[in-house]
Amino acid sequence: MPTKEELLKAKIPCPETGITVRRTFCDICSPGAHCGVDAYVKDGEIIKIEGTKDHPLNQGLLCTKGASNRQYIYREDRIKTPLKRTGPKGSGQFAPITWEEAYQTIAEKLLGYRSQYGAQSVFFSSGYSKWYRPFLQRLCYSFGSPNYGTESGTCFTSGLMAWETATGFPTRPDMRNCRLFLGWAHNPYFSGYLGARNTERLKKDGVKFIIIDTMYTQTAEKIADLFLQPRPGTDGALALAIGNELISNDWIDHDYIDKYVHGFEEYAQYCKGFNKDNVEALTGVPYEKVQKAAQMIHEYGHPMSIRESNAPLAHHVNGMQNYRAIMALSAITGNYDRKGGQTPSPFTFTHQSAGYHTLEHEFVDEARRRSMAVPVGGTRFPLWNELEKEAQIMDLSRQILEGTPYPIKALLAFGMNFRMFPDSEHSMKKALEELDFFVDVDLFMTDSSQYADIVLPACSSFEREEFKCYPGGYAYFTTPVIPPLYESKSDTDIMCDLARYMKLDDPLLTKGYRACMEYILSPISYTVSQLQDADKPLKVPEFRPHEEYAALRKGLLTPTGRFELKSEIIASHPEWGLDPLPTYREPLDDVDPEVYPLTLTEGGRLPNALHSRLHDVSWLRTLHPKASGEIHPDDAADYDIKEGDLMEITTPMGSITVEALLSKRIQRGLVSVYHDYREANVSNLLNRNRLDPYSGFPAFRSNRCRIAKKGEAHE
Amino acid sequence: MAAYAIIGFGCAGYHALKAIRDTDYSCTVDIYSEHTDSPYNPMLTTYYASNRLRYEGMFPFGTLENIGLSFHAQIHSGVKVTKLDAEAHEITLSDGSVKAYDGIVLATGARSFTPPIINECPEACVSMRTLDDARDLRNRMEKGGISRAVVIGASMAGIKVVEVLHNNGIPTTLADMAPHIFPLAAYAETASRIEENLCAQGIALKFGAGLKAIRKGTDTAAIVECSDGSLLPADLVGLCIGTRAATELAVSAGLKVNRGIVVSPSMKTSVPGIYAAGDCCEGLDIQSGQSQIIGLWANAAYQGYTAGMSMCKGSRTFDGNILHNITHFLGMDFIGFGDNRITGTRLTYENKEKGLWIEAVRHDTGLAGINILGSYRISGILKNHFLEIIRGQTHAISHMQRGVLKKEGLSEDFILQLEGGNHAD
Amino acid sequence: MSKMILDFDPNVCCGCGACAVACMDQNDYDPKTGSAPFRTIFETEDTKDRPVFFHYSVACMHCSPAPCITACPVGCLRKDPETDLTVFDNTDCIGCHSCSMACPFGAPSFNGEGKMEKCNGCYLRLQYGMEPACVRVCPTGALRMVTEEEYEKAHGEYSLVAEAKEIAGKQV
Repeated sequence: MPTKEELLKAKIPCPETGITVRRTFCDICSPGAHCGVDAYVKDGEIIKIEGTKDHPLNQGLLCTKGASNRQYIYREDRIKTPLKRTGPKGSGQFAPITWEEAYQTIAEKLLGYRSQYGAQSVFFSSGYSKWYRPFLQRLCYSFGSPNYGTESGTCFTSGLMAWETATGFPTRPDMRNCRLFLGWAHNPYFSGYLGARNTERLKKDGVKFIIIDTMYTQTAEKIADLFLQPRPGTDGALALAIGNELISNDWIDHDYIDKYVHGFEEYAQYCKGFNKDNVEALTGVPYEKVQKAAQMIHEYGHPMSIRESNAPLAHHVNGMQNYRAIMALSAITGNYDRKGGQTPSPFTFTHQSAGYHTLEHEFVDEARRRSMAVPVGGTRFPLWNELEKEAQIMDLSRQILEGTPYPIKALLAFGMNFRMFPDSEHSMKKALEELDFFVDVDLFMTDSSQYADIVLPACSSFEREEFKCYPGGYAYFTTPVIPPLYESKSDTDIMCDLARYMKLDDPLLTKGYRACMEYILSPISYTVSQLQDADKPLKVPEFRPHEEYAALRKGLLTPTGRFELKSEIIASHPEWGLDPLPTYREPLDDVDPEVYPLTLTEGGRLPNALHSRLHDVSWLRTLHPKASGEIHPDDAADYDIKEGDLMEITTPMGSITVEALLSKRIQRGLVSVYHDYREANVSNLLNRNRLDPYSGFPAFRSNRCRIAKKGEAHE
Repeated sequence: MAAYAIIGFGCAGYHALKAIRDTDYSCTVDIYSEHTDSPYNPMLTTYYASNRLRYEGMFPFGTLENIGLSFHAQIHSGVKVTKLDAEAHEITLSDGSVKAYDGIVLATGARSFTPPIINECPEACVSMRTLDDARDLRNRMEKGGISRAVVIGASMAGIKVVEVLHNNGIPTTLADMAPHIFPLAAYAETASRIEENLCAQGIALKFGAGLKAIRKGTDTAAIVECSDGSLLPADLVGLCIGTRAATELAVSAGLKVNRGIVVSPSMKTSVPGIYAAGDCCEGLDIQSGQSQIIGLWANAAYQGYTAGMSMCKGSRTFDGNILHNITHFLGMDFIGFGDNRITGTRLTYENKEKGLWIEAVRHDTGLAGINILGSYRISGILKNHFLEIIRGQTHAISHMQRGVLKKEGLSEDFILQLEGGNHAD
Repeated sequence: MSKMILDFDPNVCCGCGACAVACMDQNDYDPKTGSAPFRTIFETEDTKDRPVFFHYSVACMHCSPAPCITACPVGCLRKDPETDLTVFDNTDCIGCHSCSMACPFGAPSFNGEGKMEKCNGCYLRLQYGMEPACVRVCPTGALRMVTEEEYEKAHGEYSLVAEAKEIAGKQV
């Protein structure tokens, strides 16, 4: 028999050890996942975690990032109390204050700016976390400001806008029922491991796979029947060429197009410009591969589901148009609103489509009571403004620094990371330096929070109660696994407290998180208490699975009621200067290619990292310790760069130095740099004005650069 | 029912016993050991001497009583075997009694060796091989009053004694006739790097001059007189010059003995029915093809097990070993494989970030030797690679090993050099 | 329990490293000590024209017989009689690194106190009906803990245990 010490060391949950297992979920990555977690708790401390076996989403698994939750939660740099800055901005000098003092100060300041400069002078922003967003948005609107903006303005929303333009709905691939899967920038192995499992399962079941990516990813290597490797930002040209090939071979669905698609003739005409004469020159993909792809779509693509990964396709000056060009393939082949194709999937809660309705939208919208100023970015990005009605955060630093069309005086941020802004040093970092009043709410002291006037400690998903929905009709309401560490609070409690301290005219929000969730969840049969008592996701009776062609028959939420290859919203605003068709333009900047012969792309995924939030989690950092960039071995040889050498990357905006990694995963001519490192901020190399005019998205993934060897490995 | 005897009970003796019992549970086994301790590794003595290891921790196989019980063996400890009649398989004990066996394993080990020099001050000298030696050193340190010490012998044992003294705040000089530290294992540059590190830690080195005499001192208890005439005052002199196989019994019995008892791959001596294993015997150095002493704990285990097996079943062999050792001392790890006298093309690699240094020599048929400083983690992988090369097997390092080497800071290029240009597919 | 095999298939693995992190969580790994994690994650790339990748998660291969057990002068290492996994009690570890020189896979780590630690196959979890932390988290099924009979019946073309057996067989 093992001794008690041995059992404790092995962390065996049993009466002898007193270790119990409690349930919650991981919220490190996006709400598209949020896997169920079993937390092993001993004397009020989490001592180990693993995935919940009977959780409908992850079935016991966790990804690399999720497996690090314990270290993430107990990070040494957790903010322990509310803090007030006592030294100059950026000095790192803070003093602890009480919540009372923090709330009083914030309320007084924000109300002061509102009365002096108007409510729009206060910006409410969200970083990568999403679970609280409806609450933040409601707080913002109840305060009277139109300026609610989030990092989704650089990540998810461009793809959403593309779908809204064409169909009025968010849309999801119905992967599990397809015969052919077109994975465009689809590498779930490193950014959505459950997707990888599903992908492998489908592969075993005989589904065919076309994988299109700028890099030869694990998915390309393990899954692809056909792999196409375009240069970054040329996806639109490639999609249009595939469209042209499908149309010229008459491999399209005429009946469907006649009934449900708008603008086909103009689209077909435009596609003709992308053909065997220019496609390889434009994209780097040999024309035979384009033919092969079209042929596979013809042979197997009934149904075909397409996964267009949001961020990588959107991070170009032509990103949204490229995305639209890819979407068009599902329209002309009759795969939209079809089982095994693309399915309209309205959001249930926080960007997750679970197949049932909540009052999230109403909760936010009813707070928008009076007419408000045009939000930040609204004038510069009119299509964004038309569709999203939120601030486009990419224009925030400009407006803070220039004060036009009106001044921004204060920022209430739940997570802020200046490195997600191109030319960070001269854009968002400078804006934070110059801003009158900045409140940052976070779990950890970050480089951005060094500029805050007040810092508030938030807690993790393990320390709060929270509602969460999952695909398949599931609803989950957690109980805290441990009480909030130190003096931290749940983000939504902070929001509701602030509404009270500012005496906002919002009786629901001031009642707190639980009351709000009772309202939001009122359309479903379960009460919040019932959900919480279940201690696991429950399937709600209101769940309605996708019904084939229902949305098309009812008429889509577009001006024509059809799938708009030609956007009538855009067409009705010629003053915007945007194209109604998914037209293509070159992604790269016009700096001298002789001086900057290579293409810099940032944002490739590592399994152990997620933007900045995990770089300081040392377990994860052991897997990839250094800021690095990958290049093809032949390019490396041209510059006499060896594996592990220091490599300097330069654009007209500046230089950074990273460790060089050599891999044939990378196409020739490309320099792929992992992002968000304190010691090598690749965003500093980007021109902050290179934004997609449709979405306002920055061109993180296609910029000219040059490289040079800076030093030997391991010196 | 067969009857076997094992003479000497260290690592080899224990493994011989284990092998006998793995093969045959009915036979009788008598074990004769001059000392009363359970088997232990002589390398542990400095750890015991410096209180870094508790007494019970010295004995990896447990107490003699438990070993006797679990292996069903008669252990005669504190008993000296005075005579071996090899042909008759008979032994004579110190009390004059004579016993006959079906087979006998000689596992008498080795002793520390001091050359015949003038020693006017034996009370100031310690050697470091046995538990008594360890107790001796510990007592002297506890008593105090050691203003300075000299350790003679820049060997693996010598450096460990230096470590103990140095960690006790005693100014210590390491002296050897050889020009460099670890003369039997280290290449010159690797040795220089170790010496630099030792000097930086405040340890004095006196190389290139032999030991002439140990004289009575005036300010210190003793003065070590070197062959070049220099004098090293010391209150304590560590004698770590070397060891010699304990072969007296074998020699007098007429077994073939060189520096150690000569054995076949199945650990047979020159007389049928008599086997030998461990530090008292030689073994095949598979690099040189020569029979020589390979004084290693694990080697003794393999030899002992082989001897026990082949004595019972007659079918086991151990195909020999390479010269190799790892020494962890004063914050450093030195690892050496192969014969450091063989010359050829020098390959060197340094990763300053990881604190890793490798020096290797290639000759016509492949690697002749490797020195590693700093990374113990890669030592087993490179030993494995070295063994394969010595045995004339593949020169390629497997993917699963290469990945670990790279994680530990080796470059792809250097790995390729070690492989002689043959990567695994 | 029967003899257990902790097998790994580099052809199935995707190199995500979740196993390594789950192992760190299970074993309270502290990177600040400078010790190596029990699992080493890496990718190998073929040097030929078409890139061919293998992904590895290498830890203790639980060799049988295990050279580290023979090498340890203080007897820290042993075989668990229930599972035949190579387990340890480092109370008396002196940090001599002899096990490292015996191990052909670089498996032994040394903690902040200089004492040896390594993968023990989560043998106690097994005895309590649970999987090892690494196996539990592995999304691709590359890592699995099976009985010897199950292993003999079916293992991948690229079973690392098979390769390790061959390598360890050459170690002295």
